[in-house]
Amino acid sequence: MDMLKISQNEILCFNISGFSVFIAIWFYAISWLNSRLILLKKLGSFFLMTSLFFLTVALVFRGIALNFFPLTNLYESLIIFAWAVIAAYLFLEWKFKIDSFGWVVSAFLLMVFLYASWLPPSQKQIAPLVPALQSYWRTIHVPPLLMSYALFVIGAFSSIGYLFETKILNKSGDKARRDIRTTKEITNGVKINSYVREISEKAHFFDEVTYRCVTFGFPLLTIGIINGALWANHAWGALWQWDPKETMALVTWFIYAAYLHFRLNTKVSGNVLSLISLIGVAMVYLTYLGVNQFNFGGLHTYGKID
Amino acid sequence: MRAETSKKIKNLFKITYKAFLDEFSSVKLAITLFIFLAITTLIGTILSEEPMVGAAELVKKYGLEKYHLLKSLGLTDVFHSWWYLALLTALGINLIVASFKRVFPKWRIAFAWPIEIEESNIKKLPIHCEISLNKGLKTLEEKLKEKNYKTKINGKNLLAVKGGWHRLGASVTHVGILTLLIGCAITTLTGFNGMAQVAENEGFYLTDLGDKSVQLRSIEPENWLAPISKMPLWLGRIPSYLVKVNKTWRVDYESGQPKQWYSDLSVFDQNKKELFRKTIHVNEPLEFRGLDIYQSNWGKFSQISFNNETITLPLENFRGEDVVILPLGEDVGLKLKVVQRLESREQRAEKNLTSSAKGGPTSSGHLSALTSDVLELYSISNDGSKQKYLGRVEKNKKLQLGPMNIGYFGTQTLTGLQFKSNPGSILIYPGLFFIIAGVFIAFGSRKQIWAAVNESNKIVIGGNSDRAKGKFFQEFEEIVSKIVIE
Ligand code: HEM
Repeated sequence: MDMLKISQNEILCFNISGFSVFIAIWFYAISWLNSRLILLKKLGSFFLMTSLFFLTVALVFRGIALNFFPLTNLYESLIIFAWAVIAAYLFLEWKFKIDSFGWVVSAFLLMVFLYASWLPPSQKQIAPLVPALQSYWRTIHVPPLLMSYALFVIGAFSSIGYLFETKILNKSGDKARRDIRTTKEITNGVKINSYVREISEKAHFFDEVTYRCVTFGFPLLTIGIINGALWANHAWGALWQWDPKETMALVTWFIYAAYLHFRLNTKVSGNVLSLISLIGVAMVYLTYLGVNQFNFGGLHTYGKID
Repeated sequence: MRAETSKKIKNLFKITYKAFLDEFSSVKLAITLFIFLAITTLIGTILSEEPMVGAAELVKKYGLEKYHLLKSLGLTDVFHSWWYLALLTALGINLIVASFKRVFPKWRIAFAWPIEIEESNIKKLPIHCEISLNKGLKTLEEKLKEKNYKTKINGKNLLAVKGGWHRLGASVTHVGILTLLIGCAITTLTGFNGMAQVAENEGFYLTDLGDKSVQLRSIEPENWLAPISKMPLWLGRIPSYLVKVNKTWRVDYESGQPKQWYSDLSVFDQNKKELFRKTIHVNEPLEFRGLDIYQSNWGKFSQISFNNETITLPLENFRGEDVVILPLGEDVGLKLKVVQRLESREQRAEKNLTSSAKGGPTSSGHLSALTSDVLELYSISNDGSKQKYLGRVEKNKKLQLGPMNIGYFGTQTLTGLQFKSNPGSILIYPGLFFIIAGVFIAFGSRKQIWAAVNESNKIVIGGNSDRAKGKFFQEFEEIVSKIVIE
């Protein structure tokens, strides 16, 4: 297959993928408004899966054209980030039965797609790599980071859900934490009693999804940063150089380390934890795109748009 | 009286010591430090840092007065300021004390049985129920075993636990961080690093030249000295190897951009015996007995002297010319341009053409054979738009230019090698591994289930999990529904 054909196929797959996300938004949104429409939610998941499939194919086409794992510029990085968000969301949806913010995640994904296609051609081109970047380290440094960013983003949406649930929907003014008791009847009159220390079960659920995202994301962030240090050591002979991208990743790491240690104290309120998760995701933004957009300088310039 | 005082002092010491341990073992302090470090690191990232952009740039940006103010506050170099170091040190102490006082003691929990509790307390657990079973606790035990719980029946009580090993995660992570810190300390105290620019068939010995960090290039092999940089307090040792460059070359893309730089290196001992040989390139260093050598850059360098001090400067390709640009002030600079004599320039162009067309290595050493190059001097404006010719220096000659004396001693292709010794790496790498392993181990939660047969011969079952509750509640409901149906 010649190059032109490959790049046409890649663009086609990318567009199908983006369009599937667009459709998923509507299915998820309607099923959110009326929780009895479970089929629509399933359709939403189906379209996200379709999107994931076509995105994977687009990446394969690009990988063939580059003869390398396609992670050489901002465009490819964004595609892999979108891939990670879809994969992480579908996994969490299946594992933890998330049913309330699929439409937010899909809408966010649409923004990522639009941003990626809006990038100037210089950021999209398939270009040869400079000596420092030709390394297998690249493929073990960046993907864990993108995956952790994706999880933190989903965690942040869940935190917003939490704050929405506790601040806006519960205007009772009752600030004190009290236990929510539930009694479930299973067969033959057997009752199971349980309680959670939250304002509502929904809030408890949001809190737990965020926690899950952070416990999945934090190790990945740690691995990404450490692999980055090892790579830098390999390429430049120095583990750590206080480069802005490195230091921003460190800021993010400190924030989520604080989150995990806060969590050890059962008295810390869910609101504080949600706020920390939101601050964390702001730091993720600064690390991923902000360092280059706001011109903090440094060695990691590949995301820069001139 | 004396004894009284010494007792008081001892007491005071004890109290202070205890207060110190209490304060520095607290997780609250850790969280505070994490947040402060996050904020200060963010500030350091946003503000331009002196080691990155240079003092001149900062003075230009802030003005002299503000610059001095910022500098005295440590804001021009946050990551090396005393208060940033203090925060890191505090985190380090906090980590060490807390690890021993709080984290490691908890590893026992990983293997411990739940503590037996009374029926009334079982009913206070986050999830609990009361059921009747024909075969009593046995049925429950079987189901729990199916779900991989470790179980124990003690008369009318049942204890079950699962996932205790997750509690080891925190210990493993903290061990990893401590190992990493010790490794970094060893590297700081005994490691070194440095740079050398070397031509083909030349080499370097590692030497300690004190504060002097400029490499001396010389014709006599005894004087091929590359200075190391190290900490002021240093307990390391400099190996007495000679590192020699047998050959160095570059490979280009078809477009002419550099694709890769290579250096074929040999390490010799004092008796000129070859110990090791390897061809390195970017991302493929030489590692030999604790000495690592990296390909860092590659290109043409000129030997230029300023007022009798000779230094090696890299030539940049600026608008098709080989130049060195030295900023002299706000908006003027000195441009040193290396010009080949006409006949040799043609020869070189021809040679380049044939070799890059093949895509093969462009050999380097020959450039130094071009003896007929000269250095032209220009003063230029900041943006390079205006320039004024000042004069020319023939090779191996000097020129007086106002207060400055400039000499030119030829241009050579050199390979830029970075070397370092990192003795702490034997701890740094395992430390990193433990951190990663620990964070993974810490992932799940320890789940405990209690059951007791009460007076009315019913079974009260309750459970708890130290972290995520939702998953555990699901599992609890599943177990109970299954045994009820059976
Ligand atoms: C500097 C002071 C620190 C203190 C006082 C501290 C304290 C603690 C304590 C008391 C625990 C609970 C142990 C247990 O329940 O078994 C813990 C868990 C943990 N710590 Fe630290 N820690 C510190 C630094 C760090 C750092 C720098 C990291 C970075 C990776 C870290 C990672 C963890 C992890 C991953 C856990 C397990 C969290 C969980 O179980 O959810 N800690 N820490």
